[in-house]
Amino acid sequence: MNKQQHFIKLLQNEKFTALAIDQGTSLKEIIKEKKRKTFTPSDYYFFKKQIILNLGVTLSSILFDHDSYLSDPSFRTIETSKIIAYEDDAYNIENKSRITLLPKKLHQNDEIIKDFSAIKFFMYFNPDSDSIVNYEKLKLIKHVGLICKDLDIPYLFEPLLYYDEDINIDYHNYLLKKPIYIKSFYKEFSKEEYQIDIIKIEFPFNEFEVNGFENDNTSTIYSHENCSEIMQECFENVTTPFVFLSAGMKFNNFLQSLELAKSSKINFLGFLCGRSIWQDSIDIFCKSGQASFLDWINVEGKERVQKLKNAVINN
Amino acid sequence: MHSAYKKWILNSYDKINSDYVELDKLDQLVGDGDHGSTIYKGITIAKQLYLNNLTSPLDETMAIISKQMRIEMGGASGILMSIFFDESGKIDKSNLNSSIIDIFEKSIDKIMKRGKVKAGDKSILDIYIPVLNFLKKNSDFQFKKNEINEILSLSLAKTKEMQAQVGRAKFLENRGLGFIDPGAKSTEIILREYFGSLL
Amino acid sequence: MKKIINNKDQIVDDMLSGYIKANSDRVKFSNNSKRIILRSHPKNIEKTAMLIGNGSGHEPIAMGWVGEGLLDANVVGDIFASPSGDLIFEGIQIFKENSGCILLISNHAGDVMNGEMAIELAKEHNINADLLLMYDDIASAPRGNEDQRRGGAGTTFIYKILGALSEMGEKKETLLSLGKFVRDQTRTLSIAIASGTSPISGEKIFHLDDDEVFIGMGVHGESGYGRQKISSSKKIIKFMMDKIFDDYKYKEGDIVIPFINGSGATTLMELLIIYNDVEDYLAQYKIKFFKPLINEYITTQESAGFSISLLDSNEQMRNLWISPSSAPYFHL
Repeated sequence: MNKQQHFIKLLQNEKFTALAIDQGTSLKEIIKEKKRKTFTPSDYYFFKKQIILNLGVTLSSILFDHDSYLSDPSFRTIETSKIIAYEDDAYNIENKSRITLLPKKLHQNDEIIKDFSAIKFFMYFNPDSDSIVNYEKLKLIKHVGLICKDLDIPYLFEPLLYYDEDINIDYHNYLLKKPIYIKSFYKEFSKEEYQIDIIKIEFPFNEFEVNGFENDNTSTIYSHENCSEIMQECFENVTTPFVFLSAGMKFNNFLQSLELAKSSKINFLGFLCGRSIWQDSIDIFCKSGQASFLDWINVEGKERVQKLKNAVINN
Repeated sequence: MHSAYKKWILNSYDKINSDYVELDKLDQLVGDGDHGSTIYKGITIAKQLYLNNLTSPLDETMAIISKQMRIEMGGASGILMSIFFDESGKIDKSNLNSSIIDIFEKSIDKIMKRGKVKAGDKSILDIYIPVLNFLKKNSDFQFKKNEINEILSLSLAKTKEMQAQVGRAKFLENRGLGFIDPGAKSTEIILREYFGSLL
Repeated sequence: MKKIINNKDQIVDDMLSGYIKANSDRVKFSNNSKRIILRSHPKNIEKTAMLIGNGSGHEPIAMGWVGEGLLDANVVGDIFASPSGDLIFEGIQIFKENSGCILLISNHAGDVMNGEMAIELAKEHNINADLLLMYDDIASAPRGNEDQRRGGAGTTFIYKILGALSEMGEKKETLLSLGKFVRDQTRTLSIAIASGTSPISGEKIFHLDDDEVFIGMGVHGESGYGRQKISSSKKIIKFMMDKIFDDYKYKEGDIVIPFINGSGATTLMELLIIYNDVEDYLAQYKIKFFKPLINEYITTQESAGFSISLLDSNEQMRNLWISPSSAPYFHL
């Protein structure tokens, strides 16, 4: 199969409506902290497995981390298309430069790569950071692009904006600058030299800034119209397909954002959503037990998935 | 190695020969306007001595060159810029990557001790240190010329936004902010030619 | 550039050659280097030798001060560039049989690095040599950070006082102590009025508008208290002396030695007017003065400008200040 063929496999009704479940050690730590004495590592694997087998399979594709993918042989038999996170555990990233580490146990020539229809790679990036650190990051992003080209498999790249304390900008102004940053992300990573096939990108505004979203209303500065304009500005010349990530937004805010993107006629391919779907169920799983957790998945979880699909699929 | 080093020194001479007026101008902003002429003196003597010592072992030749550059140039630039030339003599073809890293580590150490300078003070170290960091990160692979050149350009550009903590520029109203450090510029030229000839 | 020279590369050597020829009764080249100026009649080796290594271009300092009662040697660098540590060490080696050796170094990056290297080499060779760092310019670093200050015209006090004391056979450690004491009691502030031209680059060394002056500017254009419009001597002196008095607590009855140094193009006429106002200022605070020095000793080519240096003196310092010296270019 080539990139084109893999790409088609990633879609459902011509849209990319995917589940992200690649969060590793940091998710394990969250569950451990909530369960305390009763925690065992199998809780972490169980949690992810249920999300995958009940919700993931109804979506267009599923993004796995290598460790979880290998933890259960049933994952290899799922027919839903799969994406592999081509990174070492994000937990190990160095705090200062925030350069993503390439995977330690997974190699591009491994047999298991054949199970996947896309490779995902993310990088914390701030255009104003130290120019040499940024140069190293861009080099690495291109390097993964070369790997995907060799494997003839789509490259899904995720630039993640972060507040770099070494930059001479205060946090408040950094937040205000988000639309500019996101616009520059899209522009930069659409360039041919990166060989990126799908860009996974944040909404160019923060959920607590939007009037009408679920927030405490103390920091709202944007109306829905403002958000439309911002998105149109960021994504006015779409060359590389892109999908929105949820960045742990409250579910309803993510949903509203997608609906807003659709009504603003933003040319996006869909979403790759993780925490916004399932993070609320962590508490239920940890505090109320497996049965309640499975109930949540079957009712709330499935409802959420359906709502998200409706928000992107054209009627 | 001798032929690579010969190329390095001759090329550095050519480049500085054509650029020294510009280097003087850079120094005009923050110093006496003579850095270009000074480094030209140094690289001229380096070229002469190199060509007269082709049959000697490389480390001896580079030690002689370093000393004469220091004497000929005088001043802060003479004593600091000659350090790399001395250390460079210890290159080991059979252990290229690790000997180059060693050369940079030792040069940086000596520059820091002699100049009482550290990273970010706006000095030649602000070229050497990023290069060393790059070399260390890539020590298991063949060093690539074009990537090192990129690091050199970026490091030089960064000195523009630094405020000098050492040298004459530190007494300026704006500590030289907005201007490239002339010593960093000539260092960039020399290192560019170094890797250009070696790799 | 309108200077009377021959080949640019030969400036320093032509100059030193002329200097030695004109003063051969008192100074000579060392045997091995035409950049090391020595006394024709060296000091007794039981006495501590006093040397300095510095860049040329600021004549008459320091080659003009080689002579009895002052320096034993000057190691001369290129224009505005410190000589290498190697050459300074060569100079120190000439005095290896002396009971001790002091290398005077003015606080400028190149001078310090090369001077330190020379002293390291000297110690490796078991020569009893030490470095005395000199700094006095109040505009270059705030109070509390005196050791970050540039060496300016006030270093002259150290040269003369230690030169005189070493002539009397005092040992190295005592000389170093006195040197530090003199340094601690010295304050200098300079003012730039117009720029000279570098003989190397042919360009002006710094830029000032026709009606501007710059108080605290370093000899190579480094900044101090900023640009101002030119005004009367009284006003300028008040500004400068106020700054000096902010920096050092003078008391009624103190006796200071003043040194008004012209940087090359400021006329004697002006320097004397300036001194007249300096003295009035001192009188206001009931501070006495002793044997002032007014001349162009530490120049920057044909730059216009001057500096005021004050040494808060004690009797020993005053006696040493006026003791005789045969250096060709030092006259009280």
